[in-house]
Amino acid sequence: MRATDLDVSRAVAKPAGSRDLEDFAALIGPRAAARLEELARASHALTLRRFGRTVHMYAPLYLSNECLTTCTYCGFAKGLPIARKTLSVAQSLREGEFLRARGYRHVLLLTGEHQKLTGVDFLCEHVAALRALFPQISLEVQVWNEDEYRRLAAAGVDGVVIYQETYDPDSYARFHVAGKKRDYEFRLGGPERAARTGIRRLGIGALLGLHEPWREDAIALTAHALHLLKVAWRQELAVSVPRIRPSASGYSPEHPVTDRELAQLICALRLVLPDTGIVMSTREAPGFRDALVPLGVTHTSAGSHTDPGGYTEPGEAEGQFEVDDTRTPEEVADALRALGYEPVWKDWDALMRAGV
Amino acid sequence: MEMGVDAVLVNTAIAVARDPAEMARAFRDAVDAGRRAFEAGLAPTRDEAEASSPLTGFLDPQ
Repeated sequence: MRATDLDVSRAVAKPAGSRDLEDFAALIGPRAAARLEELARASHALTLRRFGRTVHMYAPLYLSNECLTTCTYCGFAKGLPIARKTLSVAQSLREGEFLRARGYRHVLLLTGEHQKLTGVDFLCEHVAALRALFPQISLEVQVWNEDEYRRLAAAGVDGVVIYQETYDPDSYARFHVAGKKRDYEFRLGGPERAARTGIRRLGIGALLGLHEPWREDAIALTAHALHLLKVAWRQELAVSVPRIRPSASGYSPEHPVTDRELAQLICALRLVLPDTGIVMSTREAPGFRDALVPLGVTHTSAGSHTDPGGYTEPGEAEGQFEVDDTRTPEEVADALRALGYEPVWKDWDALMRAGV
Repeated sequence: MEMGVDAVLVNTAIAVARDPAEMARAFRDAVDAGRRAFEAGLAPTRDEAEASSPLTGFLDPQ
């Protein structure tokens, strides 16, 4: 069923917090596309009311690019002839010190999927060391069962990011051809399992450029977010809609999502998920990223490297994908200030957990 | 004034002001400002607010 102009008007007119999945479908559709400026104004006003003029800053820290899973679009996929590297605790501390010196107090630790080289023991060891530098540590790694999340939480992990990549089971099977990640349901349940162990921040996302049409994945992502807001209501939720980037995998989408479509999607996400963070990484271009902040983006990274050891020993290992925004953290922070926004490096401390 | 009045008669507001002469000048200036704005021509009216600097201008190639 196609959304009409009236559906779009109704969706825009509804009070924040009462918009549903049908409203979302109307807001990402072609009828709403013709009214993008109107959507942008509503999204901007709502973002200001709920988040103020702030943008949360985080930095990705890749611990390893070893991987036993084959995702046909990923630069780390098993079997690709790339330079591989796994950081020692001493090396990840050097990377951490580099990032801390640039202002970061929230790191997102990433690895490929290697059960032996980057398992729970490995992660706990690195998290325990990095806690001395960072009050906020999130993970974007393979998915775990509840007991494993409990161990990670005890080690000091306070955020878990799991992108479903695509929510369409057939497309999921087509892009994830080998390895543990093939289990769609286990991945989908990851954020809820993590939430049950008390992990405080959840991140979910769909990788745009895999399943077509992308709007189906956007709707499924929003349904997932609305579900998590009910079952994991104590957690702070953020969503992300990364567009696929060039990588060693050689994959490129047939119909890439355009800038205009992505801007519309950001507005629609904000209008339907008024209190949910929206993450925008350095895979997007500088001017485009800056322009999306007033539209609803609340979390961003800067100066990122996607290769393990890339901050202090660049060039030794392959990155996961090419970044587009190569500005330093200071340059991005200055650009945010010029827009009238305050970059927020720290908004949480482990002390705040005391007594919980 | 927009409807076409020819004059403005003001008594009490001027008479009881602390400085009646100054208040009289203020009324003269107000009438003068209204007349000038009317002669200059008003901007078109809209039913809804519209930002003069659009949020999505960055999407249109220059």
